[in-house]
Amino acid sequence: MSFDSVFTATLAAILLTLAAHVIARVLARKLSWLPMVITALVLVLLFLFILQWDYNHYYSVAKPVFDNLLGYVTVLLAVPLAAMNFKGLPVKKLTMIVALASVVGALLPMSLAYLFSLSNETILAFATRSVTTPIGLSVADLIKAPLAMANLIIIVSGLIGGTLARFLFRGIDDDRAKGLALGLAAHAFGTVEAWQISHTAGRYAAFGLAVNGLVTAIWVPIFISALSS
Amino acid sequence: MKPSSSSSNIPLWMALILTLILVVVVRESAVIVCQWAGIEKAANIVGLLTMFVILMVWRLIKGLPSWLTQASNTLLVDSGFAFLPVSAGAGLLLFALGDEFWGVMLTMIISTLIPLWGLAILANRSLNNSGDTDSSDNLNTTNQQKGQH
Repeated sequence: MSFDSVFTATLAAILLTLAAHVIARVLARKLSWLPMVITALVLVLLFLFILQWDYNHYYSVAKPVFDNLLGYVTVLLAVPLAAMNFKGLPVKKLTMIVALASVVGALLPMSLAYLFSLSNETILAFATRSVTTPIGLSVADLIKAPLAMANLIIIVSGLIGGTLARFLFRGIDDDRAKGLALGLAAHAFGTVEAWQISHTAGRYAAFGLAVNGLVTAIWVPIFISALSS
Repeated sequence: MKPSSSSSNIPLWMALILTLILVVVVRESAVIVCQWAGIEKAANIVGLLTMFVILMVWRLIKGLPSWLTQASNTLLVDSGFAFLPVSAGAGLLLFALGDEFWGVMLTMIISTLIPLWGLAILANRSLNNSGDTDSSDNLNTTNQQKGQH
């Protein structure tokens, strides 16, 4: 596919992406079992295939606009975290669990990737495994990890956690614990799953997702930078 | 500390515009400051932290207005749109991992399920003796996460 100008190509990329997003949203409303992100992603690839539009060209024209959007979404994530009601929460215990989850969430996948002899770029991308996509991509950009690989890891691991959580939680009777673990280890997919368990689980999952993202975004770039120097 | 939100009568469209202005101003300011400091790539994270500090000060002094959380709920539900192009790249990458495919898959499975199980047990023990105020005032906070990934 060819375009007269960069402006036309950018506009076409935005429209194609918007169409995929809107269709995926409508489908997800009608079929609740359908994961919206995966549907939208498949639709983008399908549209690119139908239009014979090379992905690398599509991405290069879309990037300037979508990089800004990604930045705005990252900043917007401060709202749910700041609006969280901490009344009645055991803050000290939660702080300990969040700190542990953040450290394990980055170091365990990086260590495993190293053990499996994966490439340095892939090992770096695994540092973002436990954080939600907008923050994860910003962190990946900061530590010079490949964005597409970081995104792949975040999305697939979220799906794995959200799908298998109910089997792992057989001995767990506290919905707060289930929710917190889902938000911390399986970010937004986990939060959606927690919401299906109960309101309490969902509330704790939202807290886990937001605070883990914030904490990891601070220490991981500093840690990686210290390792590299 | 003031309540997490206070009521307001602003219509949703105006709340969306005000929230977008706030987000754009904070993020673009972070971009300018980070460019000046030579750390351009940290702009989004710096913006996130700055926004969090501003909102916490706002919450301490006046309490966050409900229009802000309502607008962020609406916007975050569609936040997936922002990373669709890069997500499509991730989809293609999965089929092009080659020799790394099984290593990447095993790392993702192990590093997700072990922490999920361990954190649930740890949280179950830690939270067992504490009360829970499952008040509805922060359920909105949970709702808005449903559109993220």
